[in-house]
Order: sequence, then structure tokens, then C-alpha cells
Amino acid sequence: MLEARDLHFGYPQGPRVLAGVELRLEPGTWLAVLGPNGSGKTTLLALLLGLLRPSAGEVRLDGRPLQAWSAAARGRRIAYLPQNGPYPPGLTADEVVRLGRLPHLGLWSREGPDDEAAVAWAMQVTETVALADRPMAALSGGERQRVLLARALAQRPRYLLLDEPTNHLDLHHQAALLRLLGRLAAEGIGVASVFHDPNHALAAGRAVLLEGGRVADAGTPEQVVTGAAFRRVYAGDVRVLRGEGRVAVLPRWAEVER
Amino acid sequence: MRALGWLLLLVTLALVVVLGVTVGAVPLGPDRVLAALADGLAGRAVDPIVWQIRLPRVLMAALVGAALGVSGAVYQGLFRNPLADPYLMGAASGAAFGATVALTLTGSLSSAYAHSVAERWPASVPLFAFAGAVGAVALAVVLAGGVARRYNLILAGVVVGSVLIGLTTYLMMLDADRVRAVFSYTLGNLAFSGWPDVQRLAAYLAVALLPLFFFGRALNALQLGDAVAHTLGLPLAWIKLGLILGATLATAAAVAQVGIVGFVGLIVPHTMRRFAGEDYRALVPASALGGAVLLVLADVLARMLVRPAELPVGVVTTLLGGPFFLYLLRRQRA
Repeated sequence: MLEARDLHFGYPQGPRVLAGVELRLEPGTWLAVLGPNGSGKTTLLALLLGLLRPSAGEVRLDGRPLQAWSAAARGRRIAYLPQNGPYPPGLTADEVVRLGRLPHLGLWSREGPDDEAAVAWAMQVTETVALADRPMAALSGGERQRVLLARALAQRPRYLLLDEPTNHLDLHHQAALLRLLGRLAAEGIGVASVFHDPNHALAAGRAVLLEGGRVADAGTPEQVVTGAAFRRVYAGDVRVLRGEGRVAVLPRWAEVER
Repeated sequence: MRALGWLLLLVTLALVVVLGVTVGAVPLGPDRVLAALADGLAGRAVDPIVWQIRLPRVLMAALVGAALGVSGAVYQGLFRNPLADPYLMGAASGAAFGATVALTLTGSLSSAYAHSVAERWPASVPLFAFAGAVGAVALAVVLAGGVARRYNLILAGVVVGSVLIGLTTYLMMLDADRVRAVFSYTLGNLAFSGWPDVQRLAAYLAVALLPLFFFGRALNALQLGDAVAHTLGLPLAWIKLGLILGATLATAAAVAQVGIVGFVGLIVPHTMRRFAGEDYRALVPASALGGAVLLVLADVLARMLVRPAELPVGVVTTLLGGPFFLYLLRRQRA
């Protein structure tokens, strides 16, 4: 289990970014993190990854404090797909995906059958096998995002953290990515994904809503987007539609109110 | 890069080394050069022009070119910036400052003492230049508050470099007699390289440069950004520090021996990208070979263009490197 216990974070002279966040991610489940811009979503991911140190509280990975794990052991358990991260334009998709084996290989070991199998699996589930020999610069935004996800999956992580993974994807690829995340959770990976669009969070098993660095609500995604906290956070700017047994969230604009 | 590409690079390097030895005040035919090289390697008595004058100079050019090429590739990978070069963090201005201090110190001493120190010039200038280069980069790292933030490192390097250039200029104004010597140092010169210099530089590079060849995978991972490199289990601070240390020691050792040769560290990794691709496991060794080829050729031109005089090799690399770089950029856009 990847766990945040009473997590606080603030920059020395800056405002508090997170205050007392509690969060648990079990392998085989999918948690969506929602919240408006500046609510602390990305900071929460950075703390769970060990990129930032909490000012108070702690992150625990499989029962031990995160800092107690070696960098490589941590890399074999947690993988990360950042939002708009840089990529090496001249490397091929295959070479980029292979970088995901680094926590298993270290800097100098040669790749073995396990590594080949992990790379093949990662490229297959992300449907990037056909892109293997193409340089990153020659890929479309959606293709590149899938290759970078394959790189994270090649780590064979127990926990996968994604920051706005549906950004810059067309509707077709958004749907494909959401299906893939569901499948990965079903295969036993603990998936935590930050979403801007609450509709995407509805695909997850659970959701938390952050507001001003605190957990404002938690539960099933439907409970969260139809709850009082969600209405308060987004005030008059969203409209939650219900029908056919499903929920949808739309931004509210003047015409809707005729 | 395929095996054929590596073979081609190695053959090119061997050819330019032979070319470098044939060119000079007394032109020597390739047959005579090859015979002398064979004699030398077999331990027989050899042609002193080939063995004592030209070969060490050519090998020096190759070593310095390799050091700058590799350091340039490492800096470009480390800073994820194609405009980075080995002098980005103040190594060149530090070396120039160190050399100037060494030259002015000896110049401002009483004439009798200066004479005795002057005998040791060849030793004190490289030593001060080396210390200046390493010191400047170390200062930049400290001012940047460590190696975590790329932009802080670049900014600190620029600030340290500018201050040192100011100090160097001031020292030169105080001691106008030394201006020529300082200038000749800052332009780079391979003319005085002998076997002891080659051996010294080779020893430095074996320690500082060779380990960099084994950081290709780390440099590739760094291209995914620091956050991802961290989650891939890389001890980032140590790796960055190691890369900066290796590149800085190699650059400092090279410029301390022959002065500040410009543009090699910038254009070589760029050019080699076109052949070796962007995989740093290939790009770093390719930049070593490419840098060696380029600087040996530049030195040949430095000796030929204004015969019987010589141009400082740094003038050649800058005059040829600038336009060549623009040509590469234009081709890349096309």
C-alpha cells in the first residue's frame, strides 16, 4: 500500500500547499485525484514519489517510510507519468521504453529476458509496438504520450502515478487510455491519476477531491462529483447531469441557463 | 551507430593523424611518416621531427579534441540544452584568469627572481589555469546551491565567468607587457606540446574522461526530465555531480595544457548527433573521436594557412566552427 499519513507541505516563505492529507492506494485499485488548479494535486504526487519532502507527516510504501527505500527499489515499485514532461526527440520509442528498465538494471547491467518481456508487454498494452522504430520527434502528441506511459509500465510498477494523463489526447485516445488504466488496475497495479476533467475520474474506482490543500471529499467518483463539497468547490461553474444510470459533469455557461 | 560508422570514424582519425604528422615546415611524405611511426613503435631509433616534434603535437590535438567533444556532449545532455558547451559553467574564464595570474605574478617579481620563475613558466601556467578552471566551476556549483536546479547552475556559471573575465581584463591592464602572452594563451596553442604534456594529459583524461563513457544510460534517462529520472531510481545529485566533475576536470586539464580552444565542445556533439543519433551511449564515444579528428584537422590548417607562421588553433576552430555551425542549423531547419 502507498499511503499518505497526515501529510503537510509548504515552501519556506510561501503559503501552505497541503495540510493534513490522508490517502491510501492499494494495489489493484484506481484512485482519481480531483480538485481545481492550485488545490495541491501535483504537489501530492510529488510527495508520494519522494520528489519533495513533507514538512510534516509521512509517506509510507508497503509498510515502510518512503525514504527508507533505496532509490532503485522505489523505482521498481512506483512509476510516474508527468504532465508535459520532456522527452529525447532523437531516441526511438523502443529506446525510450527501455529506459523504464533502469531501476531493475542499474546503469551498467545488460538487458536480459525479463527486461525484454517487460518492454514487450508495456508496448503491447499501450499499442505502441508499431511505433517502436520511430523517433519521438516524429510521433503525434497522443502517440508520444502512449510511449511515455509504456516507459513507466516497463518499470513493472506496483503503483502507477499519472499527472493529467488525458491532457492533449483526442476523445478516441482519452477513452483508450481510461480503458487501459482500468485494465491495469484489474491486473493488480495501484493506479493514482490526477484529472482536470471530473468525467474522467468517473472511470476510476475511488476519488478524492482536494480543496486548498485538504481532502474535501472522498468516496466513489459518483459520490464525490454529486456531493456537497464538489458543488461548493466549483460553485456555479459546473452542472452535474444524471440519466441512464450515469453521471456527467459539464462546465456551466450562460446559454445553458436560458 | 553501426559498426561501419565506428570503423569509418577510427580510420578517419588514423588518416588525419598521419596527415597531421606530414604537414609542417619540412614536408614529409606519408611513406616516411609511416616508416618512422613503425620504427618508433618497434622501439628503434626514429626520425626526430616525426617522433619528438610532430607526433606529440598531433596526439595532443587529438586528446584535447576528445576531451572537449566528450565534455560538450555531457554538458548538453546534463543541461538538456543543445547550446551548452564545456565552458558553460566558467571553466574557460577560470582557466584564463588562472593563467593570467600566473603570468602577472611572474611578471611583477624582481627581475632576478622572475628569471628563475620564468624557467618554470611551462609548469606554473597550466597549474594555475587548471586550478582556475576547476575553482570557477566549483564556485558556480556552490553559488547555485548545489546541482539540483539546471537554470541556477547556468546562471551561476555565467555570473562567475563574467566576473572572472572582468578580473582578467583588469590584471592585463595592470601589466600591459603580459597582454600578448595572455592573448596567446586564451586563443589556444598546440605548438609547445611535447611528450611529457601528452602523457600528463592522457593520465588526467584516463581518470576524468573515461568514466563518462559509462554514463550514457544515465544521460539518456536525464532527457526524460529530473522528476522521471528520480523515479527511475537514479541517485540524481551524485550522477549530476559526477558528470560535472568529470567534464570539468577533463576540460580543465585540456585547456590548462593548450589554452582555450573554442567551439569544439559545441559543434562536435552536434555534428556527431547526425551520425550517432541521440543515444548518449553512442554519442559520448563518437564525440571523443569526432573531437579528436576535428582538432587535429584544425591544427593542420593552423600550421598551413599562414606559412611559415602559425595561427593559434583556437582562431581556426572559431573561424571555421562558427560558419559550420550556422550551416548545420540551416540544414536542420530545412
